[in-house]
Amino acid sequence: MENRLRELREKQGLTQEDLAAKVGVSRQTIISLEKGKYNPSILLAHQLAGIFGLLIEDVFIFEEEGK
Amino acid sequence: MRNFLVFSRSLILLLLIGLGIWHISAGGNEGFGIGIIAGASAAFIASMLKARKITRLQEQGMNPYDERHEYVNGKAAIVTIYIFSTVLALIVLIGSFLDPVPPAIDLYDALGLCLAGVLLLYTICYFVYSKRLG
Repeated sequence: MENRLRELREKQGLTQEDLAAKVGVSRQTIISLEKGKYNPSILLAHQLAGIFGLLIEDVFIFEEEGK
Repeated sequence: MRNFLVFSRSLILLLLIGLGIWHISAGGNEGFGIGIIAGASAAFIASMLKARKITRLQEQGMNPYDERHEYVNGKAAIVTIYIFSTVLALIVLIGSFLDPVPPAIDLYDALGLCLAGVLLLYTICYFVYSKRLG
């Protein structure tokens, strides 16, 4: 799943460590998310979207299979 | 919590060192006794260093055992079970054909080897999956 995490994080002037600390995960998790290699739980996605004051679907771009 | 961990690990270290010394002084295998003392000491130092790193991260608000860790842990565990059971099944199957009379082996050595194999396999799988996630 693609996402705008890196773009939004940089726009807010946050480092990966800052963002990790804000949502209580490891820096590796933020790295994996930004690379699109790991899909977060609904709870983490909600927390991340909340940090940027956006909805989950504004941060994480869901693509249906076959489209 | 951290104090309890340090206390319990220190207690285990002292017990293992005591066991090693007792084993050597009772005329047992010297290598085994020294191995217990050295292994316990190394494991204690490694666990204390790791605990310190985890505490530092937690103080910064980060959680090293988050959902990504759980995900990698689950993947590594499943692959470890799959590989280990397949290898054991192959050994039993092929061994039964080639050498129907099983060799006399030390049960403790065999179990120790199995345990070491599982832990090594799990560590490799964890490392591989963790790397794949970036």
